[in-house]
Amino acid sequence: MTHVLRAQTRIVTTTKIAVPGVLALAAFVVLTGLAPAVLFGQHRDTHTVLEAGATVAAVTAMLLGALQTAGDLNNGMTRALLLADPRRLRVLGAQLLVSLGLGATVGAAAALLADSTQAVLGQLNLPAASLVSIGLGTAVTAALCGLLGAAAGVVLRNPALAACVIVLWGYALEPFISTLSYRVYIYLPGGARESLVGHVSAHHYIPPPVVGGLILAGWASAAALAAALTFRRRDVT
Amino acid sequence: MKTTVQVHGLTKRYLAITALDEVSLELAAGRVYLLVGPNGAGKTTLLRVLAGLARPTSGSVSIYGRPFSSLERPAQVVGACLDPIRLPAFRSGRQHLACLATAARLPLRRAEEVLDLVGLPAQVAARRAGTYSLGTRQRLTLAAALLGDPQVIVLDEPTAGLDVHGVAWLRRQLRDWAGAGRTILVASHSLTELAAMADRLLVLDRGRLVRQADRAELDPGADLQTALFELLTAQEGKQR
Repeated sequence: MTHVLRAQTRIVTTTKIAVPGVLALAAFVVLTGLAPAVLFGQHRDTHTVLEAGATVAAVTAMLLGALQTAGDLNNGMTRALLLADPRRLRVLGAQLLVSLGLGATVGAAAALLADSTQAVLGQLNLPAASLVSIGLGTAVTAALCGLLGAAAGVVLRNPALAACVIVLWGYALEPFISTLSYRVYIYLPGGARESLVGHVSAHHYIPPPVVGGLILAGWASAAALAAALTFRRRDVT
Repeated sequence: MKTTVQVHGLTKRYLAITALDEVSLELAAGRVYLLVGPNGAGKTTLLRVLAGLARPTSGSVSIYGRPFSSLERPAQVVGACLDPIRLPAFRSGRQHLACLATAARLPLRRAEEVLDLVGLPAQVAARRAGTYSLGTRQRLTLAAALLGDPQVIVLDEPTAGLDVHGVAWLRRQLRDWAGAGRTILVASHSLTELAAMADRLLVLDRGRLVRQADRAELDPGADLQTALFELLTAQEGKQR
């Protein structure tokens, strides 16, 4: 397994797909904190800025995972990999694990950036334990979303389609469901993400971070299973 | 001659389309097989099934008595050059081969050796793949197939995009590889370029293996392209 894992890490690092994604993430996180302060002289509260960072990290990780796996299926890299090691589940396992790791890195970077931005503005006014907990939640969220995205990429196979599905799901369908029923929403990946980063709501019940983590892990496991079933059976072109 | 590849009753269907229909054949070590047939005959599908990328609907393929997916060191048994890979723009050819060498548990220096073998200069291998021509990508795909120094080499349209030097190199290599005891299966439309190198011709038409003949059995003065066209026309007449 380790050789395929090392090969997949090489593939991801040499694809450089993460570079524009991480730059966009960094710009967004910094602007979320800085723009209101610079433009309007207003400061957003730290929790809002950190949550915004976690959301963008999750979507970025999911997109990176999906674009990597769907892209490799399309451009022939997965085929080349299977000719070197035809154990399909091993190859898929490596792809998902590397996306999980990339997601965790993206999440940790987003949390650090958001913290730094707030520190620069002199607004880092949460206790250290909360900052650590939110940072950890952001990293776990982005890691699981990376895996979820990679699995979605394997199932959907088309990078453009996978990106559209992820963006529509995250920015249209889930918010729409949350307006219809928050009780349902908290069991969706978006709701679980909010739990993981300790979102506070005066109007709705938000499960504790551990429960949110378990819900998101459940979604990621289901997606990985769907990817495994698809990848085992389908022909690779 | 030792049999290396056995295909038995192989059928592959895509919904209503039968891409391969009860194909059976054996390939032996030290021989070059040229797989020919019109577009849609099933050549590429046969190579994909052989390389474990497509699953047969029925029938079996074994390499040294085992399916490709259960070989211990598959890259050292089968090297397949199918469509030229479309590399991500930022990855270099050398990095690509390093990825595959790692996956195949081969030393990284092997990447340098095969780059040298297929005639890709070091400065080209170091360049971003986004700048590669079709011929360069074809050479890189060939290099990837040769990483494990395999005993069975499967090539799909290997002359596509190659310049005259590349084709001449490939023709020499086919004979050298066969001379070293390897089994070579080449699917190609370029009969004029490769037929002279082949020991045996396999003719596929509409998924069926309609003819197998040793090169020596064919009229040495015959124009193979015309002979193949006539064979396929006669086959079409029979089916009507």
